[in-house]
Amino acid sequence: MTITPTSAAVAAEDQFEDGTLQIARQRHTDAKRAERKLGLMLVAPAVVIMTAVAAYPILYAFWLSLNKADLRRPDANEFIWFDNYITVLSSPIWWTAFGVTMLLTVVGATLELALGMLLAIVMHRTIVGRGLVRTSALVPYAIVTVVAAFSWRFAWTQGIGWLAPSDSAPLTEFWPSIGIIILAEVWKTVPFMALLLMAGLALVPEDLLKAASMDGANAWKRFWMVTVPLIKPAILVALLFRTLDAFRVFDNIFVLTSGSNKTSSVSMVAYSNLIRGLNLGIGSAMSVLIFLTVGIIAFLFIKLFGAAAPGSDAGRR
Amino acid sequence: MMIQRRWTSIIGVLALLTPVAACSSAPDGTVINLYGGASGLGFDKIIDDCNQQAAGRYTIVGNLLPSDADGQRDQFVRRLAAKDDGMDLLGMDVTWTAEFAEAKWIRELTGDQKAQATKDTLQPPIDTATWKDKLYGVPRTTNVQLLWYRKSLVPTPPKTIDEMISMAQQLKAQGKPYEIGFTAAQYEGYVVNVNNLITAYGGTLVNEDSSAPTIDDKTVQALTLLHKLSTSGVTSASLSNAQEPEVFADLQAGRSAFSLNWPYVLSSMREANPELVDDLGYAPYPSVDGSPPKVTLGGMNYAISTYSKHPEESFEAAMCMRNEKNALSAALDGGDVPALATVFELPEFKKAYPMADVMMTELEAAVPRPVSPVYQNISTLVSTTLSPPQSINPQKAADKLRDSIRDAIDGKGIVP
Repeated sequence: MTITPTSAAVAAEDQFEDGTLQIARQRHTDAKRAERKLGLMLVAPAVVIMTAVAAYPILYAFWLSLNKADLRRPDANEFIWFDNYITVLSSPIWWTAFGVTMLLTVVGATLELALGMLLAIVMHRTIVGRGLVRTSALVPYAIVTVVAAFSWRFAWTQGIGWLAPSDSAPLTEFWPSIGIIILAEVWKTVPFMALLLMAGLALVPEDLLKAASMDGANAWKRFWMVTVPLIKPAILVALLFRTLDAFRVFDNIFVLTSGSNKTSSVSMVAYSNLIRGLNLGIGSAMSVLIFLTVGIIAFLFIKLFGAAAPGSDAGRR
Repeated sequence: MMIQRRWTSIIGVLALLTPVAACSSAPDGTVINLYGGASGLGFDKIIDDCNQQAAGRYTIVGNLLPSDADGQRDQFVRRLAAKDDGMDLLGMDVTWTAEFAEAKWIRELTGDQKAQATKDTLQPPIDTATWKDKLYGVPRTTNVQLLWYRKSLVPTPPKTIDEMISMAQQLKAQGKPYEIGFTAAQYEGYVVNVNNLITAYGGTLVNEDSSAPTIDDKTVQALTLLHKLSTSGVTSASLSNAQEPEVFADLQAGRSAFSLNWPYVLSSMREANPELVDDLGYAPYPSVDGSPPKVTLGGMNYAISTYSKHPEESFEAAMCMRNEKNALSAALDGGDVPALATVFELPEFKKAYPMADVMMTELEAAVPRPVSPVYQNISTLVSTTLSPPQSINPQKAADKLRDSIRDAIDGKGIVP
């Protein structure tokens, strides 16, 4: 009931200054509207450019995927609804490639995380020659993937390479090829992983670790109970980036096996159909499916580890 | 201040543009851009000769393409699909004619041009430049595989593949070089071998107008033989990775007793291992029952791009680059087998190609690869389905091929 006098006072004030307030409010909304308008005008160029470079190709790809569109038979184009998707999704070639891609992604990202963490700790803890250690660790990431892939291919070619066994050709068989592709991917991206994780490690306060040590926690416990929870956001960002990247793997496979012996990834199969086979309909359907899968992976990551996702409040530092 | 900044930016833009302008040091006047075959050994000599003959009316510029057939086709189809007018003369693999013609990327040759292009030319190369009874290219080179063997190890060359396998097994038992070299990596060159075996049984992969697959028990028989050949212990350990260079290397290193390869082997071996040349024998490709072989045609034709702005000059340039003199020079320097019958009669050619008679006999019975606008898809499907050759299940593989080729023809197929 203590409110009543206050409200009464406000009401009186309102009555008294009604006109002035009205004008003030009006001015306020006008200014807001103008500001909004200015804001829209300022972002408009960016929106237009984004639409042109991102939205248009995606929508066009989706449109193509609903058509029978083969560049070699320009007269036979027709709208066929979702037939291309049915063709792709009922093809064992697509599902083999999907399985291979998933395998590469999961195994690759896991190995990269483990080795990247190891490398990050080494780089973080090194006292002597810190710059040298960090620089040399980054070399694989600095080499162009295609160039590195060629080196790997020659290294594993019988009779030429120093890694190849003399009585077999590992790049002609499925499992050895997969192993070599994973090796090449891991070798290339561990430094990237380590770099992101090292940024996380730099944020762990030494005092906390010292305190834990005083409490009798050994090195493993300190790492597991103190460091890991603190750098969780860095781990998840690194993992998200690598998972999305790994799912789109193309260049290593293109050079190492060019997809023979069922080692194609989904991107590789899409390339074969789109660029090599000139079947725009099928190829676009595959591209849309890859796009959706990448979207789902990103969504799951953000949903499951929401707090740590880049851009969300808790993850921002 | 403002003005000064603007000037700076203009100068910056100019500075960025200058190198671009400097790069285009193309000759003046009409330029005929040649793609394909321009990097062949001694080919610059041929281009120079034709440029001299053109006497300034046009200049042929040879452009580089990727070294493998698949990579070359990738570049062609991408640029042609984009209606690129920077390509005039296309050195096309014989298997692309139907596809490029159907997509309307290359010009039909009619009337006088047709007469010129086919004069003195061997019939099989003309067939490879023809689609639906229309001529789309100037036949330039042709090719057939031969059986190369070591005379010291093999006194009489085998006439059938079974005979060859048992000879190799005997050599192996005696501890002598025994390998049979042939291309079986997952690529176009493997399809040539598969097709050789299928035609040996009188089979084909698709019908005349490429509207349906024609896979039957002849295919199954051919695949059974291929499986036998690759599992009888007389092939290289890296058979499923072997392309022409690997097959050649096995012969050069003395591991092979037999080698199924193109005629370039002789001229290359003269450079690579002169000691082996005297021991190198040649014979017709082995067949199934000892009858004359029906092998797969190779080679290359010149086609004129639909988007070329100089079709007349391009045709003239093509005719010049494959005239008798230049075809001979390409045969001697680059190992390119000419499509002109007259070149086969020249003494210089006979001297460099002692096996010319065997080649001629094979050429007369040779067959083109499946003629189809979707040949690329068919080729990929064949090489993937049948790779590696050691693990082919003939009946299953034939059934799978039939289904996937039918899908490819209907435009529903997925390329692996």
